[in-house]
Amino acid sequence: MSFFDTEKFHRSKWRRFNILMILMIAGFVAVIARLAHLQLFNGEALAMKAERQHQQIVNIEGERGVIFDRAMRELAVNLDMPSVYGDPSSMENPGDVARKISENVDISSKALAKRLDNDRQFVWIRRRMTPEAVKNIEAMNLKGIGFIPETKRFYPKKELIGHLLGFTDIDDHGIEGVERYYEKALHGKKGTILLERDARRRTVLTNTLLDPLKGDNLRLTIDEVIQHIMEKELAAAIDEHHAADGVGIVMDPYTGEVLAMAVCPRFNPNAPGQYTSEQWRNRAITDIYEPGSTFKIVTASGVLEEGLVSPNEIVHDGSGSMVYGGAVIHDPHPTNQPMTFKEVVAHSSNVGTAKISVMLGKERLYQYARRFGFGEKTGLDLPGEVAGIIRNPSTWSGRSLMTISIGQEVGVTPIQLITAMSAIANGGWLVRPHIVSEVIEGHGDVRPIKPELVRRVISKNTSRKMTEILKEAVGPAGTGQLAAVDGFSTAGKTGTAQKIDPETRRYSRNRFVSSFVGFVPADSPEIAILVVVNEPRGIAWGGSVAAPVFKRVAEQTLQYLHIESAGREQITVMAQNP
Amino acid sequence: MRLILRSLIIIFAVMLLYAVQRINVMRLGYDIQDLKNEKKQLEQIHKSLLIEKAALTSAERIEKIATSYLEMKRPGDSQIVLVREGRNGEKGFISAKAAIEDKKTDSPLRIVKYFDWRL
Repeated sequence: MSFFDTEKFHRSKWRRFNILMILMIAGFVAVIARLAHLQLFNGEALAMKAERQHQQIVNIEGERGVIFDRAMRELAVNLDMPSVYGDPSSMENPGDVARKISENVDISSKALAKRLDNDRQFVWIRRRMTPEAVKNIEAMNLKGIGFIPETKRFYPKKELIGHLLGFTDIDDHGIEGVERYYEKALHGKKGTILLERDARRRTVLTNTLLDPLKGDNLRLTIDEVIQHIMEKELAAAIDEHHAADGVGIVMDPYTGEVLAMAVCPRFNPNAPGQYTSEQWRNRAITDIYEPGSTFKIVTASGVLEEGLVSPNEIVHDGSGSMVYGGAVIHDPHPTNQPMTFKEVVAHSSNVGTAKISVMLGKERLYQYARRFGFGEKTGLDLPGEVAGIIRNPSTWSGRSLMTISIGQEVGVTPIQLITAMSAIANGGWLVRPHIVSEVIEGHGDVRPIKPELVRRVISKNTSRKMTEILKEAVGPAGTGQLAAVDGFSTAGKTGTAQKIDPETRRYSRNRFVSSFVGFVPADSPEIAILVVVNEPRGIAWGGSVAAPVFKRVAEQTLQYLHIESAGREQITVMAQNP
Repeated sequence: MRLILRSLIIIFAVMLLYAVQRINVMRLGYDIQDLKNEKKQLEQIHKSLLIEKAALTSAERIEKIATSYLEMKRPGDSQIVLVREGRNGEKGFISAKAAIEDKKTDSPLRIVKYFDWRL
């Protein structure tokens, strides 16, 4: 009989088993007692502490809407650039954290340590970092360092359309241009997510508490290619004539859709800080200038609409100057031959225009200027537009009627002038120019911006007569002959306006604004184009400086839009299998 | 005593089961998070490619390459043949050269290297 079979062994076994059981029960009781103690006396505080350690609520900005051109090419997009923040209250050694990440956040460790030396729960360390730098910091797995997904606005076309698009600030709020005007639509709405983290601060689960809403996308009326054509040709003209700056606009005269709006010199909206606020300004809508002879379209339309003259009626004897109201008006190139009304406009005769303005009278000239939209904002969907200046006739001097009839003593914006010319092109209607054609809402619904007719300015008959007259102005004898587009009938008007010399406060003899405004094809207009070149050196005639730009822009734009010219060879084909 | 023992074993088993489940949930949480991160990274790559495409297809850049490096020229008005819609409304396209050949004319049109934004 071995020891293991003895009664002594069995008694000993049960005793040890009982001791073990008692110890285990005591252990369980101790654990339960501790749990009860924690739960009953410190439960609330500890639950909050655990929640703080394991859960984190993060606010996420809804992404800003994308801006497209009319062919859905991206003009303004968002780059993912997370921001890094610190929670100094949960850091064991803020100085050590600062030293480790200083290189990646590009802040000296001393400055960063100072920033983190407090017991706050949130301190921005760096906004909008590169994904590489974020990845480096993430790999360090530091306690008290967190990331917030953010985006940075990026304009992939760089300088192209910069003045029109504008830009945003660091908080993604529109500051200039379309970004500012459509801030409410473009800006997304904040969302909230709950992150559950483990003891090593790794994210275990993410729960969306409130979905962030993406801002609306915008589809512009602008066409990137036409914009490029205008910017390229305008810049070339400014360079060639050593001019100060320039503005060019291409517009659909029937709908008011702006196809291109160029301001030179350009600026890059990706780095607005490198330019002055003066350089951000969209001069096409914020700057006024004396239009000079391009304003004669108002005077001429007025006398035709009122039936005061007919196009072939002789209205001027061709003399080179006249005195009226104490002022002398000159023609730079007098013909010294009788001129018809049509020839007065085609040759841009100041004296002839002044004579017919007397027939119209100051009240009616003022009324026509207002009907064409001068002296009021066009209502274009861009911020900062000004109304221009046209004084009430009661304040006009004795010579104002004549000077205003030839485009002096009035201040207009380029957008007003092209809108006025569009009224002549489209049969007499003033249309409201616009930049955005569609708002594409976050959930996919498309809200089109419909063209808007403001009012009838002149009759269809007057519009047709004016078109014929303006075709003469671009004809072989007209001042705008260099604007004539091969294969297309072209209508337009030149302008060469003297600028006021700020020192003498009189018209300068060597500072001009050269311009040309017209439309093509004249008989079934597809596009209206305005070119304004400010202070060209040397030859400054609108017909020499701005008209060739009009021609080059029109040629390329018509080709791009596949618009048939009158004499072009055409072939009709059936569908071809590739 | 046996009853206590059984109860303890059952409690222990339940706790163990709960712990295993909890660990599984945690592991699945990590997997889901990893997949979410991967999805996010792929979306970011897709987005950055779209942005790159937008920058590379800039009209300004294309024209510079076409005229400077490829020595292309803009065709004159007389060098363009418009190809219109067919009789049954079927749209088609053929090259300018083929169009001239089809027409069998002695057209002075000279086919030059040219580019079209819509190509």
